[in-house]
Amino acid sequence: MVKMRTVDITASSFRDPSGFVYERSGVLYRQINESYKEDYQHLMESGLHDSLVDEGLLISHEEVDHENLKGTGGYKTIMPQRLPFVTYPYEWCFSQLKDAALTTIRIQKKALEFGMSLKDAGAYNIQFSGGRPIHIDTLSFQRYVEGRPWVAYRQFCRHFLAPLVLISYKGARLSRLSMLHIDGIPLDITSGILPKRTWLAPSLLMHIHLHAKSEKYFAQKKSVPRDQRITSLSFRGLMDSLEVAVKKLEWARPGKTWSGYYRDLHYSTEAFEDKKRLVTSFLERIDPDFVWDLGANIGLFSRIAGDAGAFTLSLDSDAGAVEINYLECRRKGDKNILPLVADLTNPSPPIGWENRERRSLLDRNHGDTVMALALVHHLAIVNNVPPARLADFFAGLCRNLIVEFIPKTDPKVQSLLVARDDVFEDYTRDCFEKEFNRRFAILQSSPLRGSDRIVYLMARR
Amino acid sequence: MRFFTQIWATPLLASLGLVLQPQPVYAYIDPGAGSYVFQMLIAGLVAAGFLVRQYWQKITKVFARRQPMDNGENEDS
Repeated sequence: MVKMRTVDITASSFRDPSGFVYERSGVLYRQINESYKEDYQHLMESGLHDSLVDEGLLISHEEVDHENLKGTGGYKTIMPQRLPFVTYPYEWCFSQLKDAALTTIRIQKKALEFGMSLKDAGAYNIQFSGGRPIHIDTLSFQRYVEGRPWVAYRQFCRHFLAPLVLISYKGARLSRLSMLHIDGIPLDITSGILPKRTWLAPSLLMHIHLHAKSEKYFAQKKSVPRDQRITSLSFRGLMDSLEVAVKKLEWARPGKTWSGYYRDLHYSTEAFEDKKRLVTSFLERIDPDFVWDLGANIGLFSRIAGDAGAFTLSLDSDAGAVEINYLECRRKGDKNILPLVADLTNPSPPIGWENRERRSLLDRNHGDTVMALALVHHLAIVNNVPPARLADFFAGLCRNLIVEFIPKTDPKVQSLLVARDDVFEDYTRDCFEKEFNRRFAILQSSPLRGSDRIVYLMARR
Repeated sequence: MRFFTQIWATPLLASLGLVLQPQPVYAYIDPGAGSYVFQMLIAGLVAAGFLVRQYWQKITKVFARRQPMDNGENEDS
């Protein structure tokens, strides 16, 4: 963090001349600079701000009586509403990304009604709060001047349209390309990867393929015409065209073994019901505020935590499972659960300028409780992580741990051992308990009825 | 027919006009330049598409309103 007296300026906040975000004594503030004064006043006085906040589209803030930082041209300080957990677009499933895109367009259309426009339409301006996408950059709005083009058009195409279209036509694993390109996936790469049949879709032809060609063509030119007027009708037409393009995109989830896992139980229904009962009782005993459910699959156990009142991060590496989870959360209006795509063997690293603009997954605020159900065998056997390292990993994440050990006698583990040599001498119940005992006190260990599996409740020493 | 050409004519001509006219004021090149110009090129098209969609929605709304009334009459008789 760049230190200014006792104040830390958030490392991702340097790019915007209108203002920046900083922390002072653990509280988040945003300084608005003089250069943004008139736009801010229009935002507040026109009614746009209140309208967006009322609809849950923009975070609220409080104006604070605060000394402005010296020599930085400050105008006002505000205290934005804080969110429980920050996530990034390369961690979202298809529908989260699509909802974020549609929310951005919706905000832009509403802004136009009040004579404003988003100067920044990137995916990092959207976060998930209460299960729904919300815009977090109060300073993104500028007064709309008829005649000028949408300055954020290219950014919207790279941050939203490109990854959505790549997932839709080529699969979910391409969403991680966003992580490599912090300014959004370049359109020429997108255009090159997409199948030729996308040239027949008018919106994709225009906003991806021809857009990419245009960028390439003008990159070779020394100068470029900039004085043409774009009417308000064309401006609104552009928003509408992008909205239609995004709405049309669908992702046919491939049928994967994890997603079908709960329907295709390798252990008995009796054991599954017993597990639900145990997890419920453990959660009642812990009464957590913030749970990380690792290897959450479609979120069946996350839902138990969420219903118990805990904010629950529901992680899985299978984008299809996360998609099912998110759609169910959306359908039910679940406010406590945040599904996320994450590969625990290769979680999101820190990226951006000085590798500090976007934080690594494991570096963000931890929960007080981790649930690791039907997970450990996958990490130990498929990914060769020894039990000792697993214990250290969990100890670094939480105080309370609910973890399931699935022994080699279980059919699921047996199926994992079919294609590999059993070199896992330390994958035994005794070794597992010994290693975890180093870092945790085992408060309770309950075998599941009708199965060899054991579910533990542990507390970090 | 005339009404329809009134919708299409102006945006199409505007798009052509942007390409054919000589440009007096030039600006410093940057990665966003191509995108900027592209927006101007498609301005007419997106405006036209927008208008068409608006009118299409109005037409389908009229038909949607008629349906329930017809069904009601059939059920009564």
